[in-house]
Amino acid sequence: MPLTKPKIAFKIILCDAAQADPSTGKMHMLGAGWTMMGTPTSPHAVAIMVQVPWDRANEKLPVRIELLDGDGKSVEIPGDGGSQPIHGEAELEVGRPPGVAHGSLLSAVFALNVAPLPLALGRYEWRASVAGDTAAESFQVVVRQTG
Amino acid sequence: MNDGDFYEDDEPLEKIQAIRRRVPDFVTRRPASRGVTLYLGPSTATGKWEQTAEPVTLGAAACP
Repeated sequence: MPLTKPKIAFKIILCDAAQADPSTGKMHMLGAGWTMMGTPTSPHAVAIMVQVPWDRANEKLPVRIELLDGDGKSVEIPGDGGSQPIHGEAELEVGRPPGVAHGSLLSAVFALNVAPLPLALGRYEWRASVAGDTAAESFQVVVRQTG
Repeated sequence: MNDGDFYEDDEPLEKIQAIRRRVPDFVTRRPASRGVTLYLGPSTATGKWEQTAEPVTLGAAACP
């Protein structure tokens, strides 16, 4: 019988700024929960809060975040040296703190702060993958309100 | 484990004690990372979008 690893659950929250605290596994966020933005976008952040199963502690968990357009294609931004996909990558690893009950979920966090993006109007999503499990959070780029 | 982790009973007491009291090296040397913060933006040096561990200069380079 093949061994299957417990699935990793995580949430994605779009916010204006985020900072992950490596010592506590907490996320510090500002301006969380937006779903619409003008273009060019404001500086913003993608906050990922991961619940790591007990059995997957002390395992390196690759995290990847990618910006996709409404068709599910990777968004590419023109820049020096050609177009570039917008993505971020990191690795999380959670230990088992002493005194924690056996089987507890262990928290880990990842924050990607993104500079302003010159996006066309439309629907987009930040898609995240944590050790192979994926989730996405969508947002819409609308005409910037003036005045 | 290394060859130096083993001892014979007829070895000097100091050597045996040094081995037995040594701090184990099988604990994780690199602390686990429960939180990672990265910044993604155009590099002021190359103009390419790069992720860094320090805040990038946000602004005009990303918005032609």
